[in-house]
Amino acid sequence: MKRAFGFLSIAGTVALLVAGSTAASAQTPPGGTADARAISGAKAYMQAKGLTSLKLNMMMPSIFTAGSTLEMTIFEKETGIGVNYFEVGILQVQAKAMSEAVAKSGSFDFWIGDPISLPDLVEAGLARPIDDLVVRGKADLDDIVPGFQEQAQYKGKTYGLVADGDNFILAIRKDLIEAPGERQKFKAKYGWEPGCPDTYEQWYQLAEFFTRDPKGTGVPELYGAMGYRARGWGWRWWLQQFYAKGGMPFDDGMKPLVAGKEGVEALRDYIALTKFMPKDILGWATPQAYPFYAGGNAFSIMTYPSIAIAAEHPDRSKVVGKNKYCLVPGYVVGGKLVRRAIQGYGNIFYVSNYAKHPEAAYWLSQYMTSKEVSARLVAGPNSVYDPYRKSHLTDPRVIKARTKEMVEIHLKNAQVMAPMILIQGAVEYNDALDLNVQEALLGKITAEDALKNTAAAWEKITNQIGRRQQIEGWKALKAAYPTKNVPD
Amino acid sequence: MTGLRRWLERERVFRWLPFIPVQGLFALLLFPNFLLLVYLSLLSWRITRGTWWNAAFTGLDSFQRALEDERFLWALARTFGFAAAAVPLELLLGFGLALLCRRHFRGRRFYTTVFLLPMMIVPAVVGYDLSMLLIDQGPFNQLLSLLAGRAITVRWLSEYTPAQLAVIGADVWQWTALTFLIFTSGLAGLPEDPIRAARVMGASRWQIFWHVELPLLKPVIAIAVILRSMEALKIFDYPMLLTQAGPGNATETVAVYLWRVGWEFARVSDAAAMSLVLLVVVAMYSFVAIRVLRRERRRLAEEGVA
Repeated sequence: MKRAFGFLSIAGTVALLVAGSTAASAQTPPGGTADARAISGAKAYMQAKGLTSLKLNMMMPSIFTAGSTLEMTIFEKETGIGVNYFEVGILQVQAKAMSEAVAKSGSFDFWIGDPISLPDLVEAGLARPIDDLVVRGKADLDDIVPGFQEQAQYKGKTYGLVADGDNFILAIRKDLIEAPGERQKFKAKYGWEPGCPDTYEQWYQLAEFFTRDPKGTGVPELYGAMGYRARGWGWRWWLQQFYAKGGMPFDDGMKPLVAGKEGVEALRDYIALTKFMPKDILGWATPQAYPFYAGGNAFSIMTYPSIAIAAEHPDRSKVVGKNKYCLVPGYVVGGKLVRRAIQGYGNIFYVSNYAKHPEAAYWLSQYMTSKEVSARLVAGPNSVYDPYRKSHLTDPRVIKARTKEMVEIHLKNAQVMAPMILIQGAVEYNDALDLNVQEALLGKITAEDALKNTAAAWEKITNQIGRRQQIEGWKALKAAYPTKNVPD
Repeated sequence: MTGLRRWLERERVFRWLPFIPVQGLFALLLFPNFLLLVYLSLLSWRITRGTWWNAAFTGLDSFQRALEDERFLWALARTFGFAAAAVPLELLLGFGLALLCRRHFRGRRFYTTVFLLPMMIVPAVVGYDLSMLLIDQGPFNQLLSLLAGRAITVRWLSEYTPAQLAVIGADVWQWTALTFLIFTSGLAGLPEDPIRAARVMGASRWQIFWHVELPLLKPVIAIAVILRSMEALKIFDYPMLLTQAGPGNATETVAVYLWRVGWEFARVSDAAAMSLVLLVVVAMYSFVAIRVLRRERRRLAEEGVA
């Protein structure tokens, strides 16, 4: 009896201590800013666990490494929490994450990934809801431009902190449109003053005019346009044009609508513009496209906003100060101009459900995405993190790295930002679209057939996953589409 | 005890003893996985739909879907096409290089090492490096232009046929080293007597090669064909790194498609069924190849030269 009482009293004391420490750790950590709170929270976590140093495991898309490690080192110096990261190609993040969802090994605590894979990774049990930690840490969500953080939400829960505002922007060469003689020649030919194009037709005209091949070699000295057309990438550029045509991927019953008039016309325009792009564009993504534009080899490029980092880089760019950043062009639909900027990637910090230290991973995520640190990341010389906060608009470091015009235009584009297809099976839907769009681009099939094939593949995917469930997902996603035709 | 020893000393038993650890390891590591694969192929499981042990049993539905999936069948055909193009080239080049290095000349060791080097490089590195070398205004086209005396701008990574050639070329560049190695050891192990006899009987160098050495090398050739074919059917790194298996689906091999279905689309049961279909096809091919190999060995044994 005495022994039983002794055991009970020890158990009671332990329970009280645990409850006490939980209550203490559940309080908002001290600090006036989100990054300070993240550091305090991380320190408290280390103290509670009795640790002096800790290495978190992270899956890092290789393109983010150079722009991220400095801030991670600062966080480690402050808190003792460092990062062992392993790099993967940005298009391989989904597959790696899926394999972890099956293995449940805890091989990484957190990762940077796109919102496309979010529904699948939640359903697979990998992505951890972080609402409790967001509330506790008072993460800086208040000044995020509407439309970005929403992409980290699924079925009413928050699964990540947005780190990257990836809606597309159009950059054109200001020095060339302002060159003496060029304006007059252009106006005489097309009937309008050259500048930022309002429509895709105008962009086509600019691209045609500024493609320069004086020797007729078929390898122009200056290419008129650039956009991504490679496998795994090109579908996003088509989808943006399709949205601007007024197109929507599905109706309310998840019947695909891509094969309609809007889709076919958008695909024809997408293919037509490609003739002013470098011949190898079907194999290019960011590592090839940015240096090519920054090398002064193209008149215009529709791409991610981090193009400004490459184009305005004082040492690496030949076109510093020669760029004009434009609202994305659109189409005239029913007599009104409709512009759409697709959120073409939009990376997010996710925490794994199988993380050994989910809370520590969260604090680092909060630190990296706080107002102050995100501004440093967005302004970094190797950064592919793009502005997504209102505060970035006025931050002198961001403006210096990217120009004021670029940041303003980028956040204006965000007013007409449309999401990618973010429902369960998104990767498969997008892959079917991507494959067919590229087959049409290669001339293997017609635009009509490409989109009919896509629609048929989408129907199959919907039926396999379950139509009722997909209708629910699509209904939720539809609310994220912009209602404005053009930005204010 | 003496009974056990006697049993162990029986030739049939003794011959199998060294294989027991390997076979045991195989049984332990691979067989359970294989059974799981078969089981998964009979379910209707996606990673996004709960755990596999709770997934619905749907019999052969996944196999039916696999055999109706045009993309899978094309990927299978394309992979065999790549193998059919790459393996003969690797055999010819490997054999040629082995013949060159058979002679005694200064620097022979150096060249042998150089020829073997590509095999030591990780395929992913080969794929990445080639993706840089093969861009249309990149070093490879510049070299071709220099040789041709005019501008060559082949779009190796963004046009259908050139992309396929690039994938085949990458495989040939890397794995000719293996066939070179196999043939070098094959040539070194040729019995001297039949060759000497042919020489005494006045046969020319070419006759000796064609009528004596080449027939003797047939088992070695068969081994090279089997090894390289099986590997070539698993080709994954080059198409993924060079072109993301594009342009379009020009370089989408069966390994790439299986990876996509399983890990990107989360359709594990479908991927399991497809991989079993692939296994059957490869097993049939291997069965035929091994029969040929055995027949050649038997023939040489009957002729008393092996």
